[in-house]
Amino acid sequence: MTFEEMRTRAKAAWEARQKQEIPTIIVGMGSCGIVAGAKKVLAAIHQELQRRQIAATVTQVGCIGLCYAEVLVDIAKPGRPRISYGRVTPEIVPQLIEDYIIKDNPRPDLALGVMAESGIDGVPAYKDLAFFKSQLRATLANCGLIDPESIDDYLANDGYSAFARSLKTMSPAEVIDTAKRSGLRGCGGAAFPAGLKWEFCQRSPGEEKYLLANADEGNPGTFKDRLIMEGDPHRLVEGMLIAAYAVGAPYGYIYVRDEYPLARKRLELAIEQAESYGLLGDNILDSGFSFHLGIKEGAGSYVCGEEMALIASVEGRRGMPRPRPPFPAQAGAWQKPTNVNNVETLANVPAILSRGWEWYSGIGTEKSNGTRIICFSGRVKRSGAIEVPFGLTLRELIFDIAGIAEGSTFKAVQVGGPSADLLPIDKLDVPLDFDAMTQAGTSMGSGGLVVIDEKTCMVDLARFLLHFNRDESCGKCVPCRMGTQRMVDLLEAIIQGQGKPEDIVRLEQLSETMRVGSLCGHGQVAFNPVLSTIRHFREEYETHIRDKRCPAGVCKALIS
Amino acid sequence: MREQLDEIFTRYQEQKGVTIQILKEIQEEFGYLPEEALEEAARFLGLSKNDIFGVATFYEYFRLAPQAKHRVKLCLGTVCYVMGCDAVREELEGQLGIKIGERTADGEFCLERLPCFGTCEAAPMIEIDGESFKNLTPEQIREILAQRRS
Repeated sequence: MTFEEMRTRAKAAWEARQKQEIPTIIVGMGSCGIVAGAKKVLAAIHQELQRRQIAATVTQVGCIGLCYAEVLVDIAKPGRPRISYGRVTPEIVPQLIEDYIIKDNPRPDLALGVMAESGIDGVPAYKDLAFFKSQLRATLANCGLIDPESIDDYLANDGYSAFARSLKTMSPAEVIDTAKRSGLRGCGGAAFPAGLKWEFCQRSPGEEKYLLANADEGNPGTFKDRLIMEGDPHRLVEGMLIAAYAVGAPYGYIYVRDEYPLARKRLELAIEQAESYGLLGDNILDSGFSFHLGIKEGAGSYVCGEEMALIASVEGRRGMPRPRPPFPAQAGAWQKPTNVNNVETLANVPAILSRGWEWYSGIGTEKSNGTRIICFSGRVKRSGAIEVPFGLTLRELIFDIAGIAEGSTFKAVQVGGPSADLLPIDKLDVPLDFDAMTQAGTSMGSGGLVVIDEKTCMVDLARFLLHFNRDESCGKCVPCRMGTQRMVDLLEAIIQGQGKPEDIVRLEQLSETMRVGSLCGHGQVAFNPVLSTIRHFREEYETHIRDKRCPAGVCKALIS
Repeated sequence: MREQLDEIFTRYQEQKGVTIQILKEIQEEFGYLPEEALEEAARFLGLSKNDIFGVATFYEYFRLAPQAKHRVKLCLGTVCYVMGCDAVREELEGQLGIKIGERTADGEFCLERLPCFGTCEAAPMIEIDGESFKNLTPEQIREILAQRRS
């Protein structure tokens, strides 16, 4: 079957399903949904349909990003727009089916939103929801809408078309040029221009090259890559195909962290399906281009998200980085030219090739093009993930879109990982923009916003984060291995009421030693939560040290 | 043991970078990484004993001693901390009489640290034998452990 034929067949099946005369019930089956009980809800739905002898199609989708409202169940009655119901439990299912499927009551009390131009019967339109108002869903276009375990669903929604067309009508150099002009930058934290990185690898001589997708996503509070892999795994595969074609890599691996078993399972299935459709393997679509894709599993190591440690782990060794140069583009996995990209970076690629670099570079700000997936967690009303153009401020993101949880007062936000800055309320007017954030002395990291309220002690939080960074240090460099330990010791003493006035200076000195002496990005920033809290919350440190008191009432040793 | 190991090894002939996968399969098979199995794996992979122990001790996932009947994994990520995992940890340690990284004397429970499941809406979270418990309070811990015991 040619590509056109598989596409046409898939589209026909999709169209037929949209027009069917029986209702469709869609259950969100991402990890967040499953943890919230989606499997039990799915079972209850099947049971109730069976009991009442109702004919309906029941399908699963990945997470649409409304993690705060899991378990999500959508109902699409024939000829009606799809309505999403939130916080569904097995107990609610029978009544919901009776009310909306049998009768015609869409239950505005339970409904979150309707996928229509405007609200219906008291149910607001999705695009009017606080969480959806500012979204531009390109990378997440399919998440929550298609069955991630169906290659045909992906094909029906223009999946693999960008790859097929690039393969047929563009040279690798032209693909690289498109990526460069689009302004796509890495989404893992380093934000290096993707097209430029591809070019380095493409220019390296040799036939044996590797394309690695970094699916290690170890930053607490960041789960965007998990969403993509669980909700639209074929998009990652397609992005990798395009990138592999561009750099000339016949081999690829997705390095998936051990803690993401569902993502791994869906990716394995996606790879199997793509292989069976001739979209992976030798001589793809009769082009002469071959790409063999596999999965390498992590085994619980945060530092393996760093590209050199990741390469070591792919090779089956201890996840310890090595100095650069040589860069992976010259000598990476097994000393061969290698390109490592974050999952989200690669997942951006199909839309860029499909809609053009002008479309992508026209979104966002002047120097930060396109969209980013931002995750919210912590003391927020609405935790989950959104995809927005660059340019919105942290204040808008936190207060307008996520909202602050009932009973909480905003105290700080950590943007992008356990070593990211902890920003207080007066530092939130910075827009989501690489340059603006650098100028403000901060950075986006992996785009996960962890919101902290007044119940958290910033000194204890710094201690916790340094514990994490110490535990995850690979141990190779003394400044990182011993530095994080010394900082933990000092912070432990402070929260126990044994802090000394010179401790703040010592913490700052240790930070500088780690910054200049560490080999990789872990040690080079691991001290940052301490520096950041000293900068923005110094009086908390001083109260702990001088007055032996914890203003937040957290540090047990200081509560008399 | 020889037969079980050979069955694993044959599936990885001629493949590159498979040390972690092989160790995971060995742990799946035996419940932990017996020293003898590690030596055999080293031989198969053409690695020194030092190398293979280096990998086995580097990654959080691997266990060099028999595990407990129930593995309690507590998320110790930033969000879980912000949402109160310290209190959950204290309750777990108190109830089980062990610290993170230890096993109860009767072999029933071991307490492990897991830095982030990536389902931060569920914070604080634990996973016991593959079953997740979300938005935990210390009060719920007693009941959860009791259910496991029975």
